[in-house]
Amino acid sequence: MLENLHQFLNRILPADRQLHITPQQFVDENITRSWWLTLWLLIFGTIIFTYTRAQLVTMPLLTTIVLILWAVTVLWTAFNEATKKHHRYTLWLKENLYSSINNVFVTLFLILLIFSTVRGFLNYAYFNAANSNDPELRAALIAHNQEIGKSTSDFALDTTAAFTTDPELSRLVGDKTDGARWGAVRANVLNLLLRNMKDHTDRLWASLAIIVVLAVPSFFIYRQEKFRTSWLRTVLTYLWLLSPLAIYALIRGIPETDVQGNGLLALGALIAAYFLSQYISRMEGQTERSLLLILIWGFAVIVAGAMLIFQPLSASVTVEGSGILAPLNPDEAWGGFFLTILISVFAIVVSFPLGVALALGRRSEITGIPAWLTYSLAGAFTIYELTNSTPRNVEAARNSIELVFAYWPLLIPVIAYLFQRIYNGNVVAAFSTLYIEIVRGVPLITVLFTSLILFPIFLPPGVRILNTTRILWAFALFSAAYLAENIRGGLQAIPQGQYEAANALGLSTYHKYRYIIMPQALRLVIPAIVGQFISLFKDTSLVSIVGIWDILNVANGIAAQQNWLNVRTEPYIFLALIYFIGSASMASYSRRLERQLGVGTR
Amino acid sequence: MSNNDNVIICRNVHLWYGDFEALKGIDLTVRRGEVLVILGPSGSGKSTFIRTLNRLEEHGEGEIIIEGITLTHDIRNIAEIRREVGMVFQQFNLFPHLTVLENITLAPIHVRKWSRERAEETALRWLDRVGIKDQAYKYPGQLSGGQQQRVAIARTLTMEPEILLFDEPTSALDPEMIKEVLDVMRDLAKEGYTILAVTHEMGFAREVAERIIFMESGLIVEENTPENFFTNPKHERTRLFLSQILNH
Amino acid sequence: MLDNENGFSPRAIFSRLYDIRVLGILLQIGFVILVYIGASWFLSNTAENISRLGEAQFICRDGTSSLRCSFDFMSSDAGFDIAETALDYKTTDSYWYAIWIGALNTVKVVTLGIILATILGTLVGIARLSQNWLVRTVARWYVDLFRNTPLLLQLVFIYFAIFLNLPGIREAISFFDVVFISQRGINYPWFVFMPAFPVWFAFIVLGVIQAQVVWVLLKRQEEQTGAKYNRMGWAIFSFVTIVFIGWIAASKTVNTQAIMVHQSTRIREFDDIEAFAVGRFDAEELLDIQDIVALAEQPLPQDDNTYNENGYTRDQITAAQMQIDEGAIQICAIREAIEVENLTAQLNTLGIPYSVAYSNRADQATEDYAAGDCDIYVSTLARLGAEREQLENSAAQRLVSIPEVPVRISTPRIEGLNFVGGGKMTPEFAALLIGLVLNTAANIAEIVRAGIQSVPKGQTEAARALGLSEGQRLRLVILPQALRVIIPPQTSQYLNLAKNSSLALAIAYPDFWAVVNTTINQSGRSIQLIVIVMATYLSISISISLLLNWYNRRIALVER
Repeated sequence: MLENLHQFLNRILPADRQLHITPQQFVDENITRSWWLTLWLLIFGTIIFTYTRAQLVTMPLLTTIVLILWAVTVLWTAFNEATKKHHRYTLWLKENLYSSINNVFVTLFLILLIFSTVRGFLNYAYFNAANSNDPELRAALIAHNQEIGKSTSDFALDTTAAFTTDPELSRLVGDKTDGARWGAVRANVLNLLLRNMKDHTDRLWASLAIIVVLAVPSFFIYRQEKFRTSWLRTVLTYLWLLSPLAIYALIRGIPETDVQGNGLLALGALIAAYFLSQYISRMEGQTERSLLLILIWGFAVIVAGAMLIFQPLSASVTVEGSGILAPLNPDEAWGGFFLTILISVFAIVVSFPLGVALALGRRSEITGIPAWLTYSLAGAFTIYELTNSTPRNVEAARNSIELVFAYWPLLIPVIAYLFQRIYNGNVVAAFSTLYIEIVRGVPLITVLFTSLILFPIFLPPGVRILNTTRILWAFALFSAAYLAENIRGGLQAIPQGQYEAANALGLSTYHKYRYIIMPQALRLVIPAIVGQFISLFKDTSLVSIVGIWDILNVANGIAAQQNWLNVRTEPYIFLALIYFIGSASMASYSRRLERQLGVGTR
Repeated sequence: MSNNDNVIICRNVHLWYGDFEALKGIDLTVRRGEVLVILGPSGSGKSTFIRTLNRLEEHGEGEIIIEGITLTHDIRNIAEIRREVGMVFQQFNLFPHLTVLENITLAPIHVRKWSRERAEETALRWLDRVGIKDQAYKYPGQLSGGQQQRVAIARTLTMEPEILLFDEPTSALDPEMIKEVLDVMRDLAKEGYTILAVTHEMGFAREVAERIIFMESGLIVEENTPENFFTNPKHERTRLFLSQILNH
Repeated sequence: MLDNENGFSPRAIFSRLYDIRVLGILLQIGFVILVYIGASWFLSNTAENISRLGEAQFICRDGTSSLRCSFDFMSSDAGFDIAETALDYKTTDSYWYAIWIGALNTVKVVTLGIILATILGTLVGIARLSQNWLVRTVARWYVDLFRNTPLLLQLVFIYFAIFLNLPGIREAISFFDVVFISQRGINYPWFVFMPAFPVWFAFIVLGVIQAQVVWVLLKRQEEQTGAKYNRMGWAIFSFVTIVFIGWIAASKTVNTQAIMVHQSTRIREFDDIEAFAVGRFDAEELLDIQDIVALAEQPLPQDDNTYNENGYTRDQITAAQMQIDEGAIQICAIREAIEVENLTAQLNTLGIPYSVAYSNRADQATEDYAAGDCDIYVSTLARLGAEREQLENSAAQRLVSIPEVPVRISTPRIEGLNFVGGGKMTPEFAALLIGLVLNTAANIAEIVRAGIQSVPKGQTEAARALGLSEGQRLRLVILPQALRVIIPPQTSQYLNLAKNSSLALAIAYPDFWAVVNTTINQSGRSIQLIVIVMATYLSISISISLLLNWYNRRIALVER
């Protein structure tokens, strides 16, 4: 019978469009090739059939159109395939949608699924959406309220219930009960984005202005070859380096206490060190120069660090004056999406130098503490502890576990051995590795909790550091470990020959890394750094768990507002949108960058 | 600076990689202006040897004195020696993120503390000498292998070293580019630089070298003049090596 | 000045300072001193803070205070409740035990999460490379959506916006009447392993060995004679046979479950229960009862005077329902006893109506039975024997054993305000699991895709040129190479999943970290607890990364 059909078709078809495949061949190849294929097609076909029938009931018109379109394109493609004369479109259809019977079914299934999902979402998000900010609805609600003798606030507690319980009201405002309540988002947009900073938008505009003013010339100056060695570029770089200070002053304000003095001292120390080192680097005698530089920078960093650590001593200022530079209390003022951005930017900026230092530290091959020194120190210490603390502990032990712990000094030689064996006595490498691995080994949320609960116990009594500050630093220190691994990856990718060439030319270690290794390594890891920034951006949402008012926490707060009790879905969707746009655009930028870098360098 | 005739003195130089002894006691003295070619089968330690001369490899036992400076762990000595000794690598090792001119001027500016003008002027002069002055503002990736190697030579020479080390400078080059590099090396030899070259170019060795050293498994097997080396080698191993090289 | 100097003149010593080794060691020592200063500053602050806290942190049980007693408080009563426990837990258990319960919850969610995320991620990863453009696109949307939004947002969305907005138990969304999703979580059919299971399991193991033996023997035969056998078929056949024999053997030999009935019921062996039921309904045979049940399940007509679609009146149907309420066999049982599943499954098969009264403890059930609340008391043979002694008229009681099978499948059903039987996931667990799985699977999908794409096209072509089949090509050429790229990042995804499970805190699932957090709040001992947390997470991370290193080394060896 199939054979007859084939002959019949070929008789009525024009000579240049003869079927090149008999129906028998088609069935053999596509359906009965193996028994499990036949079985699968049967099962799958049944599922599709049931599903399509269900869809025909819920959305008849759309489903019919889809079915007709599907059938027509399938037949068209199949015919063209059988006559081996493809149109541009059918070729695409064949390759991408209808490559096998299975795929023909899958395509139909997915199209129907997508249509019903989109339809459902549109119904929810648009057609059925209620909006209590809508004055008409609001008036109707209040009127209804008075009618049944409830107070307005009572009523507003559960608008949904009102809709469902009172058919009269539902008719009045339209049947919008199962739709989205976007009013919750609309009424809270500013809260979500800025929280209390919405009262200080002038500061935000000023900060934005600084960034824009710097960004516009950067666009030309950093891109063009002719500015490569120009002073303009240097000036711009310094302005960029100073901009965080200016922005910090704007969003935090400048307190009128000695905090200012401390900060200025720290800044002064760093600037002085910078100019001194500029002077020194013109001196003859490479080695003496390096030693001097290390000394000066070490001193400056310690001074600045001490100043900054003690800065919070008197930083619990909450006095809010007027004016754009009046001090603000970050714990109260900062919040919303603004805080999200602030945390991620701060963390990536601060963790960058830390990450570089940790990566270099982990890779460092400087001569370690010699084995004899390590072992003799460890031995002495072990013997000291064994003779001093162990007998006491053994005596005081209350159970076998404590008895075992009493012999802890025996661990010291083991640690010393491992230290020599793995790190050749290199404390810097051991410390960096330890830091990186510990931080990468624990969840971020525990780090955040630690910074809030445990950290105060490490500070001198009476010193309080703002929660926001602690969270910022926790993120930066956490991110540094991950960034260090990325940078280490970049350093490892630099061929050994680059180090050798730099050494052979007599470049000092500083110059070698500054001009040869780092520029190449950092360029390689830019995509990874963007990736790190994206995950920081997403991870900032964790601060909501520890009670910091980031965008997610503000969104959670909406559900407790009287007008929007238990409304969570809509704010969450809004958040998802914001996060998605931010993170997807950065990700695509990073992919583009990766492609460019892949082509650009050798 | 001591100005005596022997610019490189090696006494009983050993080098270990873990348990493997790569150099088993090298004794060698090189006079100022001498052109020395080191030959040997691969793995014989010849590259390792010249890399110990500027501390790219750290020798164990033995003594190396260059320009009167003993090569120790003292970083001042190492820095001093690296300033006097230039090296050209098999893989060129140019810095891909810098232009040709920046590649060359980087070390003079930061190590020799020259002004940028002086460094660039010298660099351009040397680029002219090696015949690629017009490529000064390109990136290494845009140049051919031969051109890159000539940039590497110019980079080394701009530092004004007394001694030049060549570590198989032509091995990574296509045949048609080898000549342009060898021509430059030949010129340098005539100008009185002290040159130590590891190479497989027998023609170059025969024509330019004043002395040829043959190494085998970490030891100097034979030291000879080019003429005697190629026509009348003293050592059995040398003869075998030459027959393998020349008869194919 | 540059010559190496010996001796101990000041100049020589100064010169020594330039030795790169000496410089290195000096730097190291300087670093150690810096770290020491920092650490001792922190430690002195800590000591001062602790002394200001009155050393309450380190109080011993005898009232003194000592560093040794840092963890003593961990043995005192936890005092808080944990919503979801794998083992029995009371508020009077110690903190140690509470944290252990939390850790078990973490292990549960992480293990399940890793398995499900791997399956889903691999499928999506393959779908990303599908020939079908729509499949590719949908897979990409999924991956993009879940990779570009924060996991925490996904979790709170699934929990607050989806699970807590689901209908209550009575209106639960059901799939084929076996899986129910409601505000109270997910209920699904699950296995009940009976005491006969170990016997059967032994047979399964035997079957696997047997199948292997058959496989190997047939293969040898093939190699020797050149004949072709259906090896797979024979192996499966022998396996199935042994498993089947094992099922019967296990069912026949194991006899641990029983019912207790009064003599008056005239139930001597289990099959008599049929006659008993028929007697209670005053029916002729079992089929009559089934007719009544069918009638009782008819839809009710609109009002008293109309008929429903099958021609029954309201009176007829309600009468049947009342008949069932009266005639149903009353069963006494202890809550969550597996024997009930066995008994009810068999009553269901026979079509006998029953109702079960659950008691929390054995003595309560015995009391109920003694009071005549039920006809049948079901439990283990041993327990019933003991309980019978407690009854006054123990001689009149008869113990009848129930036929057993190794495994029964229990489906959830609504009884009162709760689901009974089957497996159950709380909304917290389900939300956490779903969130973690969806998120991790999106990442794994990208890894799998990259892994497959990393195998050069030439490998496929070479495999085709060698005449390998599609399956062989995938199994022998593509997968081994792709796995080498896939497994290291995959492992770090597993590690991430384990760490991310700590976000359970946000949706009130009592995992390790959530319990620790409660403990910190309650006991105020933050230092000790943070030490426990860090040590736990670090030991997990370190062991996984050691495993990964070992795997990488093994792969590196293969590469040579």
